Amino acid sequence: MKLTAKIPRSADALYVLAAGALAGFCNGLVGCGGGIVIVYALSRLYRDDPERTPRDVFASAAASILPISAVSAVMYAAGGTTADGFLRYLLPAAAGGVVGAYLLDKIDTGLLGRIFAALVMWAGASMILRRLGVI
Amino acid sequence: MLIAFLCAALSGMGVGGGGLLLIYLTMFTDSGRQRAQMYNLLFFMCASAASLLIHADKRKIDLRVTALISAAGIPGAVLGAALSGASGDDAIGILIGAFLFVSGAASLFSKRKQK
Repeated sequence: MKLTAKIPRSADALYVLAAGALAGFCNGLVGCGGGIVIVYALSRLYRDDPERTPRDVFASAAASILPISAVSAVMYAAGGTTADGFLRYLLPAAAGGVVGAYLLDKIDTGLLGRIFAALVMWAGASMILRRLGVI
Repeated sequence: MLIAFLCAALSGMGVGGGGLLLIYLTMFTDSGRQRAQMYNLLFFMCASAASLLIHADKRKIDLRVTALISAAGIPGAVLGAALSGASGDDAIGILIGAFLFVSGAASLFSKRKQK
């Protein structure tokens, strides 16, 4: 296990804190999106660091988002939202997470990432148009 | 189940982000908005925790940065969740759509650092 704890410069620390606050806010507000905020912020933070790969960025982001998602879920539960029926997703989530992390070293995710980015854009536009009653 | 597995695998690869299941639940099932968001949060927690079993062994996790992000993110999450509970479904639905669209565009048009 390679864990590092290099002290960021104060400007970097403020940048990281701001990114964390924004990621938490997005995750709490819409139930998603915190991860991509963190990945984007860390990619910029480490862009001149040859020792950090995008895979390292993603691992740090995955570790960061866990407590944030947990707190968001607790807040939803405190507000009366229940998670009845979630258990059926538990096994596929855990198995898929392990398989995906393993495959990260084996395949080129570039093209796959762009296809899914386009899919996410389409889904976002559809959701907006649906809520506005256009479709 | 297959869709859930694929969503988690893509999340584990860092490809799809955590919103994929939310897209499925809100567009193709009759889950309520708040429940779909909560499912997505729990789902992403499980997928991330499982993927960390592999990541922790192979990659560098920056503990200091992780701690700073979590410290700032937790109050942000409390505020966001409180606002989410107090907001209407249409407003949050449009926000989710806008967020997905922007994050998809950012991923699609970003220049990736190799390896």
